[in-house]
Amino acid sequence: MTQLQARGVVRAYGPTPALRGVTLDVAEGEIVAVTGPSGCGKSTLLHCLAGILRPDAGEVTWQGQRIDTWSEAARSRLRRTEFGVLFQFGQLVAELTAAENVALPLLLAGTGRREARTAALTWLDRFGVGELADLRPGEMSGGQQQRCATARALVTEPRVLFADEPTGSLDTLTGEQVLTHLVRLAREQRTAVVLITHEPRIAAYADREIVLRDGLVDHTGLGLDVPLAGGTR
Amino acid sequence: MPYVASTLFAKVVVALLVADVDRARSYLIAQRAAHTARLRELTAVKADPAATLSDVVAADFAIAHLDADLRWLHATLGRVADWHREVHP
Repeated sequence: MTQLQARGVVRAYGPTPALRGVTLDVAEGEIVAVTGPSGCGKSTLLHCLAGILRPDAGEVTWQGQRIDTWSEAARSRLRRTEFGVLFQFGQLVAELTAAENVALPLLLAGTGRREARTAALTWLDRFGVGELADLRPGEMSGGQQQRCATARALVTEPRVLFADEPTGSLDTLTGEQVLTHLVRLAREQRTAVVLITHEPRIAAYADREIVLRDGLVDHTGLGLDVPLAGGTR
Repeated sequence: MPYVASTLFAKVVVALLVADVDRARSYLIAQRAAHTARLRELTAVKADPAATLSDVVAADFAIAHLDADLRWLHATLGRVADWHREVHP
């Protein structure tokens, strides 16, 4: 069943168009990779879907309700409860320990301190970094930080996880470990994932691949149509 | 001597030499689909909890090569028209 939809989403930065009418559906528990060359609008699409940016035109709906018309506060609330967001560089809070970082979204959503810490420790364990609970980001490797960031993105058990190049800053093996954990846990709890990547081997973990080019969806499916460069056909 | 030549490369060159841009491009597109499908199959093998380390290492080897081929296919799709003009001035 479709949970998240974009319909004709348009977004520009000043005179520069980033999205020129993107339409896509994401079903419950589905893992969708959004791929395409640099500057094709991948991250802008993710930001519009997650309610971080408002489209200039078009609609974004979540469980049948238009969210692009919601206030910033309402969209922030949605991101704290139903959505999770993960970036290339985990963006952990440097002053907080791993456990405090992971507990943070729960605390912001009103969960009690003890309950939030218990959940944080459980999620750190699931990502194999439970023993790092009391370390700060500066005391961890990049891969360990990204595992903590992924745990933080999933701790609220969101219905959709938006992941923007989540393994882009990691070496191949570490990135694969993070992604394998992420995909397995997302599937276990039926969390849909919108995975932005430019790497074919990362997109191969998804159920479906959407290729963007110049702000438009070029293709949906298994790669039977490839974006053509420079209009040289 | 590192392995730098392949049937894939040879077929694209032949398509460009004896046919036209569209034929070469169609070949590249079809090959991309086949590579992508195989990449997904091998990724599923690796992600299977029952996979042995031998399965994973073997899949890694094939995935690394497919991944490199896919990058080349993408880049070549962007260059094929210019390449054809160079070959057939």
